[in-house]
Amino acid sequence: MLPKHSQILTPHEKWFPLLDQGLVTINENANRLIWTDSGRFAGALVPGVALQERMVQIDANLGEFDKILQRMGMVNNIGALASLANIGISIAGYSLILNKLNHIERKLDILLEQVLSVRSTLERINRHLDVLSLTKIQAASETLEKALAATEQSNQNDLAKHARNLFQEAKITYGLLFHTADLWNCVDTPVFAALALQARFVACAIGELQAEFLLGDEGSYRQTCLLTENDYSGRFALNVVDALRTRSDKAVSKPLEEFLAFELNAEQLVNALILAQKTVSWTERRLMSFADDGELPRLLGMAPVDVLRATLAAQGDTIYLLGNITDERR
Amino acid sequence: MAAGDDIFVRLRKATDAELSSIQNYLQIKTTGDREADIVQISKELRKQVGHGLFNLIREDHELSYREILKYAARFAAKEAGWRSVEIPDNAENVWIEDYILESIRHANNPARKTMSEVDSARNRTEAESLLRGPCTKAKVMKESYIYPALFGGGLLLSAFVTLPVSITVSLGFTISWMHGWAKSDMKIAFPVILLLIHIRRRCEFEKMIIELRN
Repeated sequence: MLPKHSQILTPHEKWFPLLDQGLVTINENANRLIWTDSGRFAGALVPGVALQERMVQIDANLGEFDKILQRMGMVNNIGALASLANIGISIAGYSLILNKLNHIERKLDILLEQVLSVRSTLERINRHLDVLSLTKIQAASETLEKALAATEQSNQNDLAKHARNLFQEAKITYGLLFHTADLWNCVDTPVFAALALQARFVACAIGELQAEFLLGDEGSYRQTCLLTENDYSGRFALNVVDALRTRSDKAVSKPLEEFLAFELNAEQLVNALILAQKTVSWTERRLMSFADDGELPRLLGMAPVDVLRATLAAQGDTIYLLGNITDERR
Repeated sequence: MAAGDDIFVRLRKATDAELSSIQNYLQIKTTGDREADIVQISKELRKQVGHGLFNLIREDHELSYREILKYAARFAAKEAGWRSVEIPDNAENVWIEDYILESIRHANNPARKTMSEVDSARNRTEAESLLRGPCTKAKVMKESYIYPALFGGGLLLSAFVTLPVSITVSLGFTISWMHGWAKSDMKIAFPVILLLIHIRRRCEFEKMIIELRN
């Protein structure tokens, strides 16, 4: 269901001889070419012919997701956009996921208000529903953008630290809520709502990593990567069989009408859980690869802010980090 | 004892929550021994579905799961507002279960009250298509027709042989039927049948997920 990176990003043709000789290999998880012997960064992957086809297919894919959602009788598009947002994180960067999350914000917030387990869990961890609002992430995102645009180094650092703290707090809240409410196993929570919530966690994690990257401390960046990776694996791991059985056990204990609603939508639940599991394991792999970005400023001899500016300025022809710059360097 | 029939097979695959829910519907308490609970559930379910008077001459676990499904299918059709369904003799149990689920889906459709007769008929046809398969066996007389037949037979017998005794027996059948003693209690049994269907589907889903993972 999710695209393989080899289908959309390929090495530039000038790398082909070295690839044939086995001197460089493709690291799909990190979207890059690496030197076979050292495993270090060699060059970026560039969009292949198949990417255009994939972009055209996105609308069609949304249609497929929509069918599932309609059959589930749930809020339209939440799951589709959340899944797409996760793809966006790794392919096109952070701004895309924020755009996608903007679309689902209101619907998800309404949905979360209705999920009693979320509300009671928030009360238990002494939080209010408004801390989950996307406006918090947007504020953090704006601060990060200001940090990128700042001309004074000290101001840039202050803004980056502030953005990092905002993202970190939101990330922790989302992670704690998800874990405490046990949303994969919560029969009252639609799978796509849980998926959308984890997408927000990921958005915050990426934001935090970008802010940390901007601050330029490679050690701190790597440690944040490690903590994020562990946090994600620990809180969002999904065992589909266990989740299905737990939800099923809870459903059979409910009044007949509610059990019937569960039973009549069981196929859709299974489909949604399988899709969620694929999204989670794929996102997990992508998050693991973020640590590799830490060495880029050193390898390229560029300030982190310039690396990030170049990434955000990329307009389609360089989908992943620093496509043009690495080509020039070579 | 039909120890190997689908009821026993399903109950042995049930989770504790599923078993407990079934016991609640049947209003029976756990013995603390899982196998003893399963035997008790099987006995009680067959008793609830079977006609009361026939239960007297039938063993505790004799009524087959297939017969139970047939009653459930007729009950589900009635709930859906459809006329009683004919179950082909070669229809497999899982087909009947799928029919029951489709009927209940229609019965629980919020739009059913405003649904046109054409749409309702289409849903019925689709549900009945789940029972597809040619009839190969001779039809068995349905239990629901046996009481009137016994009454008629009793009258004939009484006319020629023992009139007072036959009338008493026939009246006994009729009165018990009218009072509902001889009818199956689907209100109690139907949720249990749905749970048995649920257990089968859950196991199938789990198997499919594991296969996909491998």
